[in-house]
Amino acid sequence: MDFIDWNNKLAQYFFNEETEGREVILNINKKIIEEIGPNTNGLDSFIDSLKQGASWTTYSGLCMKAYQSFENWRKRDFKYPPYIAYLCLFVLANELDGDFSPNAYYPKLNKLLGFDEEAGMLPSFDKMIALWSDLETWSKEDKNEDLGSFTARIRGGNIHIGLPLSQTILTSEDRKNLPYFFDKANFEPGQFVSSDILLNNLKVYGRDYFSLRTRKLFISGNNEFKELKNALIQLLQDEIIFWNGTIQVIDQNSDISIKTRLGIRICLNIEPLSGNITSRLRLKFNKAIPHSDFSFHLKKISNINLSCQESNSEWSTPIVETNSKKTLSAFDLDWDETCYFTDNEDEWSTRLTGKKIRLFKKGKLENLQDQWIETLQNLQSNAEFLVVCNGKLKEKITSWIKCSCEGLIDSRVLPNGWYLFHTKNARSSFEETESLSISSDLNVRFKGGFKLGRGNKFFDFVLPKIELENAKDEKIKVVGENFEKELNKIDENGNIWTFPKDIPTGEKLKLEVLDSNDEQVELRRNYNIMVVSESFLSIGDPQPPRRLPDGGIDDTHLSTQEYVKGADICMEEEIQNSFDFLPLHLGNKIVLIGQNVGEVTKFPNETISDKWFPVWMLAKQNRKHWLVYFCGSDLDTYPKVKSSTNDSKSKKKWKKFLWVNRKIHDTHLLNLTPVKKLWEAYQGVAKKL
Amino acid sequence: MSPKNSETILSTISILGKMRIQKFNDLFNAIWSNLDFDEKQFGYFRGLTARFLDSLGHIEYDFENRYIYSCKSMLVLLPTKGVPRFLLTGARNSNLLKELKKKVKKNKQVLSISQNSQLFLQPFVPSAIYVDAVDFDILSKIASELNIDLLDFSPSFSILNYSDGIEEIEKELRFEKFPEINWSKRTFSLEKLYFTSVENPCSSDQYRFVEYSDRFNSKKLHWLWNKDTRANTSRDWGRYILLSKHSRNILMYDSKKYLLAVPSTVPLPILIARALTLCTGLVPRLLSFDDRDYLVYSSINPQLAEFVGIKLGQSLNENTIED
Repeated sequence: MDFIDWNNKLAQYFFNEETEGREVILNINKKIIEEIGPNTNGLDSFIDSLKQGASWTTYSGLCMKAYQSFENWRKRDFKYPPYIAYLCLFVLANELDGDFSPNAYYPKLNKLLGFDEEAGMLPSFDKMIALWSDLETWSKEDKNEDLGSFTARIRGGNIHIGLPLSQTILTSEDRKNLPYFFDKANFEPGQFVSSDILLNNLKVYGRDYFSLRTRKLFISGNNEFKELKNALIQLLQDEIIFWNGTIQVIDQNSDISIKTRLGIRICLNIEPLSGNITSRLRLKFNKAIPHSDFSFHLKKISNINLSCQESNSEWSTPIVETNSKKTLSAFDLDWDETCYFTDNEDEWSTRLTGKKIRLFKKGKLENLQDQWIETLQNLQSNAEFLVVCNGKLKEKITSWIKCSCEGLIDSRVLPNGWYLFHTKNARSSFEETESLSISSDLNVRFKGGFKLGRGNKFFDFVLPKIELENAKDEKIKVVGENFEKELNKIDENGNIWTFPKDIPTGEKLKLEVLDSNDEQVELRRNYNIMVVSESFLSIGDPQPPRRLPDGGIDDTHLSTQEYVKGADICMEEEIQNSFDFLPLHLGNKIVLIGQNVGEVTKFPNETISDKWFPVWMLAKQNRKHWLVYFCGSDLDTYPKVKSSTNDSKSKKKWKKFLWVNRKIHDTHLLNLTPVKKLWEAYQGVAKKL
Repeated sequence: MSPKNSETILSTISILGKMRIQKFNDLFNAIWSNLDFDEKQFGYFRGLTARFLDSLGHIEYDFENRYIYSCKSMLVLLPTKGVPRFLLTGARNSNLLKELKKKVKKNKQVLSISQNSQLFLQPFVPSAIYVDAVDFDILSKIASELNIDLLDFSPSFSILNYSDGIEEIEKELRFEKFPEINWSKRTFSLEKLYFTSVENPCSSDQYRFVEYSDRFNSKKLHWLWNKDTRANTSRDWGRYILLSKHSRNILMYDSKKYLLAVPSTVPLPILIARALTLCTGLVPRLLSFDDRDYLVYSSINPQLAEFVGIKLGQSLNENTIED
């Protein structure tokens, strides 16, 4: 493997379809090197190839070779930046022996390269900052995050060393352990978790899932690591959003199985007129949907079978008791206690966590019929919400609403004895529970829409909505080269925005959040989008596979004599088409008219005669609208005045349908000249009868 | 293009060329979210949409490997009497339609273009676009200019003939002794005519048809059990083999109206469905009668219906279908 082989394989390892839209960190280790170059001497071959450098490099010295690889690389038409291997090497130096003390970095890098450990910084190492920065530009701007998003961060006070060190905030092992940590912390797949809650859980459960090096970041009070600590939190927040809820479980017999964790929510429906309240439960998914139909039971009551179906890509229909088809009322469960639900094969499970206080947001933003859906997000300060609590907290909640919210819209006792309060615009947190805490983390989420690929290119036929979690009185703006406009807020008491209708297509656009003073707010990351229109995109080159005679798919693309691909068919044996038939689907009632006067059949009341062939078909659309269709086999089939029958009733009918009823004929299918001419000939004969 | 436009799903697939089922699901969901349908129909309508796009020759739907491929744009002759009528199948987008309309209009003496909306799943399944041609050479020239293939014979009968019948499928079944696996499974109920998680009350029957789900990647396996041996088969054919083994005839035919009704939970094997759909370019309608939902194909003459019955090992039940 030469330098470019190593570079491209490493690039593909870190930047690929699976990492689209996600943060990429170059957390390289020796094992990955060996995996990527299986028939080489592993690390030694890798380092040799880097010392050798790319074929066009002429400078001596490792960093200068790296820099020369970077210079004008876009003009060389490479798929990946031809310097990623060097950046990996700089990260690898720190990976070799666990600790991340900045003081030990250069000796380790020198040792790895076989240089004198005491030689200090490599010559021109300071030039490497341009490479880190360019990698960020390539991933975010050139590729629009289609292959992942890389951020050049600095760990610690030293700018040069800090760049490679920042790639070690999470080791490969740490990353593999994330689903287990999320599961342990009871995080729900796809659900944003505030930094406070995340940090608390990292402190409680982190020891079991993260390396000491990573844990130092979140337990250390050292200000030097503040930025990296924030980067780690943001990375974990993104990973929860992408987590589909699956975890690998190894049982006592070392058998591996996959379990899926789903979410579940209480939904409340308040009848606007009667004020009656009903409650239901719905499952919530994040990408992984084990079935379209779910059958399951409550863990402690296994004899009552429950079921539901997909309602859209995120929610199930309300859960029902399978046998009675009765909707399961959430009021029948104990809301203080955690209820576990599991499917009959123990393939997936979910838990409705016991709480003393539950928060509900409006359901219409989730495209659900229920008016209110329980939310696990923090309390949004600028929103209408329901808070539901048990009797013990009634007084405290009442006084919190009085002091901290904008009025009480409704309050009542629920059938299960809990208390419901409907209010809005909370100004401060209710300190006794995390769910009623107001967070200051501003988080942008795209809701809905359809992407062209995996990046942030959205089709214009259904643009996403933008949710700004924890927004107060912010505004959102979309900015392009020649375009700048504010997004429209859907609801005054909400945090969802829609894009303006005249948003330009095919242009890179940036989202900006502005505070009440119109100052731009710094977000966790940049949010770039592009809107694409179907009319500007061409049809790809379809390469459908061959459909086999048994209906299976043969995707080998081997050339064969016989195939079916879509409507296209090729067979060795020529098949005569023996089924030319009348398009009887054009109307519920059909009148067939033949070449000879008197040849008329009303279908389906009368049987189609096999003694003559129909030339015209009149298909009834409604009483005053009959579609005329030519169904003859020859456009020279002119009418024959000589009647085939002496039945005067049939002759009258022939005339009636061709001439008398002419005002209710729809002849738009007869606009071809020869067909029109023939029709007029028939009408001419009928008129004279 | 708006999400309510019935061309949206097809044009998007045509642009992407090949997509995973998950991506198709996202596309369907994006359209669905802007429409007002009963939420319980979501999964059913999504599955039907993919099947119908396949039957219309627009896509190849690889159910087993979870992929969708767009097909080459093609004008295919319909097997109807009268002026030769061609149906536009395969990939298309608004530009292709615009160009085709423009060129046909320029030759309106001998060519005409018309459009029929589908009577079922209209927002998701595109309308039938027909080109009537008195002059085949002009149509051929236009098709070539627009990179559209042209099929000058009706593929319906040929596809039906190409498709295996139940006898060929059965011959290929290899029954082997195999232990039951511990996967999520659903058994096909002969009474309800759908897969159910509830243990089959007739599990002692000689033949059972079971669907297993790979919990990791949602891939499905379909095994036909004969006592303690099992054979791998496709979902579509497995149901009809089981029905045939139990002499259960489920197809309804109205020979007066030329309507063929198939229980909606036992859709036709893909090539047979395609052969019938390409008779008209219209997807079957969903009608309810005899306490069951049926997909009703129109313009199916008695010979064709009988041929379908033979392919599926089914005797047709003559019935009056009220549409």
